[in-house]
Amino acid sequence: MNAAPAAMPTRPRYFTPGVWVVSAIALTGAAALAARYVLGLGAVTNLSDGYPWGLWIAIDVACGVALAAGGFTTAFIAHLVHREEFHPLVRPALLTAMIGYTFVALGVMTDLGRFWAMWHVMLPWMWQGNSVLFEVAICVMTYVTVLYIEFLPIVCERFIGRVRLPGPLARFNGLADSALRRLDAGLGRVMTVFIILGVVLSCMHQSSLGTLMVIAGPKLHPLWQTPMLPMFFLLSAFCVGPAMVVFESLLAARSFRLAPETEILGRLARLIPILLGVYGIGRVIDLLNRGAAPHVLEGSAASVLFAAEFGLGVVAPFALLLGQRARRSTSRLFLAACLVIFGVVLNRLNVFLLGFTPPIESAPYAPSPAEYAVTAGFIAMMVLIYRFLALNFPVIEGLKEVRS
Amino acid sequence: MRAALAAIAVLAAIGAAGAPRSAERPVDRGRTAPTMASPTCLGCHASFGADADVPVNRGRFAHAGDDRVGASAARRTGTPDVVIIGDLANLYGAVVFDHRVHADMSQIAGGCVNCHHHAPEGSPVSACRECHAPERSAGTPTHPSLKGAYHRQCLSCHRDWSHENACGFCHTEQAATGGARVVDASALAHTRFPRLEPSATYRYETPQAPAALVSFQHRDHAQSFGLQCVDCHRAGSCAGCHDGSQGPQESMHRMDSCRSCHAVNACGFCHDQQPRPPFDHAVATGWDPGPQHQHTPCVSCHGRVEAFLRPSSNCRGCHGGLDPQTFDHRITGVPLEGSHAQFACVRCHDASRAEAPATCHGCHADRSYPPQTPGQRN
Amino acid sequence: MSRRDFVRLTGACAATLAAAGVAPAGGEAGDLDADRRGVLVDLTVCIGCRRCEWACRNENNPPAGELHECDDQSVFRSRRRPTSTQLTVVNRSPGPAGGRPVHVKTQCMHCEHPACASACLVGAMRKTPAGPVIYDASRCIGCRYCMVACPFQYASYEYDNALTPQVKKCQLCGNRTQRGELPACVAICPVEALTYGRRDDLLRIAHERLRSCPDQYIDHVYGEHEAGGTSWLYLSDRPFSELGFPTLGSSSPAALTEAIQHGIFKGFAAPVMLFGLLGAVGKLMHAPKESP
Repeated sequence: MNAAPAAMPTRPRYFTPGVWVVSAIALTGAAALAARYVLGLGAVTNLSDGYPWGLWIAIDVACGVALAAGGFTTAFIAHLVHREEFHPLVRPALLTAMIGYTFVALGVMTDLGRFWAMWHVMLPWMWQGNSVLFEVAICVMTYVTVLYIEFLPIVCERFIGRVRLPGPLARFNGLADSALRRLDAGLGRVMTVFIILGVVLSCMHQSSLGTLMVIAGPKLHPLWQTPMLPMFFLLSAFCVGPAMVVFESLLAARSFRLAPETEILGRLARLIPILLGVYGIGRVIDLLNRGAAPHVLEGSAASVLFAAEFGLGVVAPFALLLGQRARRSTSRLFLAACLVIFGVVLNRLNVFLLGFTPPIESAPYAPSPAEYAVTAGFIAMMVLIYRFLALNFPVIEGLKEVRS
Repeated sequence: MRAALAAIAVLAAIGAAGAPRSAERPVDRGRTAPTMASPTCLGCHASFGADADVPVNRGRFAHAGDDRVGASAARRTGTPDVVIIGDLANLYGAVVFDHRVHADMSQIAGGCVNCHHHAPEGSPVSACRECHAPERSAGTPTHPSLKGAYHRQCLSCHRDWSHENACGFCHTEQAATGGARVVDASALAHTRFPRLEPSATYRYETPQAPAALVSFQHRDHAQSFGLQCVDCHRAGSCAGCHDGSQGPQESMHRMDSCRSCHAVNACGFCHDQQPRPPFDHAVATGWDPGPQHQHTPCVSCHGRVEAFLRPSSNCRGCHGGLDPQTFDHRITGVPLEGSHAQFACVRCHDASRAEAPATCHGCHADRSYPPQTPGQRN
Repeated sequence: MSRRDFVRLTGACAATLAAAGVAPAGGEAGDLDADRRGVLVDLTVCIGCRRCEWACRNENNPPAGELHECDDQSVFRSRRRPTSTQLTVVNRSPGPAGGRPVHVKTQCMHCEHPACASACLVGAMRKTPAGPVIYDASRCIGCRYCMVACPFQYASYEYDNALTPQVKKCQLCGNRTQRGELPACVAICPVEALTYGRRDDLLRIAHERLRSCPDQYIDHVYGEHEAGGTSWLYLSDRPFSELGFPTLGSSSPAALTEAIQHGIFKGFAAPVMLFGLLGAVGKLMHAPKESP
């Protein structure tokens, strides 16, 4: 994290060598995706009757939702608690959440065997109120909509006074401009509701994502299977939200050659050890309470995974961020954020995939190359879209100045 | 291990005893439903469960074609040899069921009640269909239908040892026979379970040092001494002998069985330092029974086999009361022809030593008689 | 934003989501018919002939092939699970030394309070009052959450179908039972190890057998309580855990998730309260700065 020049005289180019690499990954993913839709899940994935959920649900959906938690946590802190100093972080986090949730939906759709019937979820006569997945689906769908609405002011800001419709449509420029202004004004009046709604919806489905696996019962290893899963999923989403903001802000600053906002990020990061502490203590109490603590030392793969998840992903960043030093050092801050993200990602993997054992012994599941390709491709596409929107919309403070 | 092998071999005697039987008229219970005079097992087998010293039991293990012990109990008492179960045959042909083999074998463990489970000792055997309805009924879910009952009855044992549960094991496919039922019981005899080939001798290493070795002459016991499998093998199971995949399970009640016949206390009667050869009457007793006695059961001279009575030395026990008028010399293996048929016994035989072979040179001093006359000796 | 707007929007959102919260449930135990059917399997009787597999194929995935193909016992070498084309399979558990092997027929257990039906978000899995748990492909979106939820994981999926894959599992031969016939597997069982009937009757019969032949069985009817009770019940002479039956508690996995879910969303109180709380936080935290 080298300190970049305070202001760039020119706007960064979209394509850099790194972006070409990312594009190649995205294209590979798109090819694998096409194969999935043409040939079916069986031909492309290693999913089986024993392991009906694989990499896509664990990474694209479970981790995707968790890592998009930056959106609602920053919105809460900046807009509801009115910590105005964090405002510069809100828009990048919102953009991440919007793209992230869009790809969560795409990821779900990719995994659905009858993806063309996805709209059944919206038919009230098909609703099944006992289903945790139903609640998650409705919340995520609503939340994606809310996120798009929350993003609209940014679109308005980008185009108000700069509407340039192509060719013969140019005569509508004025009309479009006034429509945008009216929209912007209207949104401004109700935005608080959407922000609150966004936070409520997030709390609901972040926790319900944990409830999803409670029904798997003994199929999920006792290190993770607990009725407290929804609480832990919510708490860990709170933890990873700020961490994700730190992570991507520092990454974007480096990529766009901007000065890292270490100071403000450091202040945000003060929250992380508090949240991690609550989360970690909760996990420990739960383990002891259920009598599952001995499994930590059983030496199995699960215990190693738990140790990695808890030691590297909870204890280490907690210790790291407790001191002032880490929060002032860009690289330490980045490391701590990475550890928190690692911990949450590994937790979601453990709960959805690695800690799952079918009751009838089946051939172990290892994702196919195509599954990896699709997941990597989705991540690459998100990066590309983020980069495009960050460069073309007033999202990142530093780039705004460059643009204007 | 050896003991186990021995055990297998003992039951093998049963298999070995069975030669192809002549086809008998089978009873087709399914079609003609003949009235069976509800016989009781005890009606024929007076000694169920008791010691095997009652003559009727002797025939239980004699399979058709085995003349060693004469006609089988089944034939004597009218119990069906073969029952054709055809009530429910549609896809598959009727089952030709070898009742006698099962009845015989069942004596090793369980007895008739193994199958006739509602016919305890002394009660009439009731037909399966009296309790088990031909059609499956929702009203009596506790009762298997006739088909279920038959299948359970057969397969609950057969799965244990033959591991056969294919339809074709018991049924012939209708398609293959054009609807005709195969009723030739001779085709079935001993094709369905592995023939057991017992060794002539089994040697047991016992901890009785120094005479640790016990040589058990299985063939002698099973063939010469006229013992039946069940005389030694009790409380066994089909799988114990027939199921090669499970390893031998059957164990003879060795000491008990031996002592039930050999009422001797001297260890050396069985235990030895050396392996012992099969029983040879000439070597063991100094008297060669010769070809005339080759087929004579031990008990004919020695009385009850358990007691080992020493026979009278002059053989009068058998040969003393012979009536020259009625004696059929053919049973000695030497049919008398021509003038020989008119001779008095003492013309050829020494009246005081009946066991000595007849002499010819009293008449044929020149030894002019042909070697094959007056009869061909077996 | 005016106070009225706020209230109106809040109400609208809450109403929308509340509708979800009170959507019809997948089948409570109380909805079940007293006459509901089940099947009792006596594992001590089963001979492992696999005719039930054939009958099931013949009923659900014809052509079933030749009957005598069932005689191939080499399939017992590995433990199999039901597949999308073979909805029931028989597995062999080798007996103890000298003992006979035990054959276990596996298929959907048709739980009394099925986790799959509770999990399905579009109601494609449904517990019918008459007993069977029925799959409705016309609703299914193919998420396979039912398979994740199933405590036995006996459902299987047509992964190789690119467009219209279905979850495949035993439907307890609804077509046959409506005609008054026995389910195909029950009908063909040569030894009648399977008994179809009212679940209550089957339980009574099972306990009668346990009482009358205590040395022939272990004293347990598998499925009486497992996972909240199942329509398929098993009797055995060997502990079920040795035969590959999962050891399960007496409550349905769905009971816990539904308790959590309905606890959180009961009357939609918690989300609405959170909404109000956040609104209050927003107003309160804002107020001091705004007031001049």
